[in-house]
Amino acid sequence: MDIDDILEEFETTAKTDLKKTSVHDNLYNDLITAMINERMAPELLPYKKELLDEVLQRLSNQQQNLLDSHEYGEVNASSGVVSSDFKLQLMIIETDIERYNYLVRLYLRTRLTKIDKHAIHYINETMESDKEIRLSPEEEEYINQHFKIITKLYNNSFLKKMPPSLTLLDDTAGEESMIEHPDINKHVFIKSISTTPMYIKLDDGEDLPIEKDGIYVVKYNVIKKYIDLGDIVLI
Amino acid sequence: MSNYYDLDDILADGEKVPCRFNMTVPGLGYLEGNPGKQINKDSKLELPFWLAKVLAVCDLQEESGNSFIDIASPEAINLKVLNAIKTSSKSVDLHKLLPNYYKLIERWCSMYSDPEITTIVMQMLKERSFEINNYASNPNMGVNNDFIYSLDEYEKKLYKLTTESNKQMRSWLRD
Amino acid sequence: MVLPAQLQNNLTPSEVNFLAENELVTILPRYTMQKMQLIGTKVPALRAMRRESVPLWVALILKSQDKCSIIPPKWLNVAYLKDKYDEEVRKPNQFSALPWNWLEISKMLLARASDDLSDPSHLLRSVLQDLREIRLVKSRKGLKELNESNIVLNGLSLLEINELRPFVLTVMNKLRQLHDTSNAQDIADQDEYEDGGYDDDDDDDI
Repeated sequence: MDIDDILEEFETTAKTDLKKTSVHDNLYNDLITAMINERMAPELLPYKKELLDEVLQRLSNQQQNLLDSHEYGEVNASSGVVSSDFKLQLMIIETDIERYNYLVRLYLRTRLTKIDKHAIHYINETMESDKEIRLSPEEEEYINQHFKIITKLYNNSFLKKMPPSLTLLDDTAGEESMIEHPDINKHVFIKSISTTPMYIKLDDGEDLPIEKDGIYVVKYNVIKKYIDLGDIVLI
Repeated sequence: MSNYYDLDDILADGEKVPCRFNMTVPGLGYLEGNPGKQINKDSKLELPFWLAKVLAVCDLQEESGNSFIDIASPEAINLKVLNAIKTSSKSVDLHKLLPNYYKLIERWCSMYSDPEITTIVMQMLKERSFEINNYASNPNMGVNNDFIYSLDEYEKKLYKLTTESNKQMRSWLRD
Repeated sequence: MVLPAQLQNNLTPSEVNFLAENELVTILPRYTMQKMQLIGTKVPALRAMRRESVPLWVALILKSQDKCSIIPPKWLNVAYLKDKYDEEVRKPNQFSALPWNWLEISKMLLARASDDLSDPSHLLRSVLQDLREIRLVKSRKGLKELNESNIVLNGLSLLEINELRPFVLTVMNKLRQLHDTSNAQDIADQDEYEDGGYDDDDDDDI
């Protein structure tokens, strides 16, 4: 195998990946949008399974290619076959991988932040069958395990010394609910990416005209459904 | 909306409001410094908001329309203060009035639904926040200013967040 | 593994910069390189002196190795930016149309490809600085319009928005909370009707 073969391999594996799914013709932009929407939305958005599956698949393919190339580079380093151009290309490929890694991590960590903050709220939601599924299987396992561990810690440290009626962690009786819900009336910055002009119905019943590329601050609640539809992105 | 674990919410609930008892209660004298004694009907004393709130909405007898206590307007929203806010919101020392001023207003107004107070306080927030932004965006405007010392806890947080954001931006532009 | 508090609901300027690095720019290669398939995009085959368009981060790597020069975007020159500045002065109530990431792109190119720019760096820096300042003054003046419902911020770039964000959101959310105390019942009703919300507002109307 020589350098050309190696680079050819990047080409072909990536190509077959591309053929499999044409849904995400701009994978990077889709990932950015997913990350920023998640970052700015006050509630946990549905897990972008399809997108993440594809990104992770391509990432791991590319990582494997990179490993192979490095191996090739090391084997041939002494013979002087490896050019500085080859190294430059590997550097670009490596940087590309790191950039995706970073975005995926940001996306997942943002979700974990919200999952932790509103754990009971989302655990309860997973038990209601009619609600859409927000969590990935891994996140669902995490949320349950994490809550179990926290409950055990609380019990051992102080709850067991309290009267049974005061040991609940999800008491909603009385005026102050112990369950913290995400505040979906929070304001968010939005940008319209819809090609047609649209109107958003505000809380007071009025219609707010939204222009393409227009930037607005509105309550999350009133634009929520347009994020799903892809007419509006959070910024 | 308040959060169960939010410390500022808890502190705001602890702010005291003036109350008057509508009945004589045995054993509660310790509230006004007479342990073991009763508390008399018409006694006036200050109770934390969380307690006053419950007592003020519980009817003495069913359908009587009379509650255990009546809550009087706290000083923070009396006419004099509201007038001062209306004339010159930026010179009112909110922190001295109540460290959690806006939170208490929210509590108060959701209980008594008082659109007039809400309107005055919202207008004040618009004016004062604009000024806060001026201070936060202009490092040359002295920190040792009376206005900065008069900020309530929410406003302090706002000042801090805004300063932080501007600082980040300046340092990004520099390097 | 949760995000640090200062990163929640906000971006740092360096993150905004990271996003801008993906913008496509035109380069003039000085050498030949085979095309490369990256994870989500392709770097075309490069041949000396044939223009190609690549993501800015790729261009900056090539540039740092002296393998290409970068063709500056059409707006990054003193004449164009001066025009925009005049427009800012002429129209005190709106922002001139600048690219979504003009601050980031110009900063990166000035720092790492200044020899490719058509005007001397110090002149560019100074007009960029003037633009930034006049827009900053405008956007701050606009903050008088904050309310509990919605505002329009057309014409601002992402980084400029991001700078204002903590202030704008913190004030508008507080105004909303205050405003909702007077009609908590209405809002609770509406939420139920639209099935859009959790019934937190119920707590408020005791």
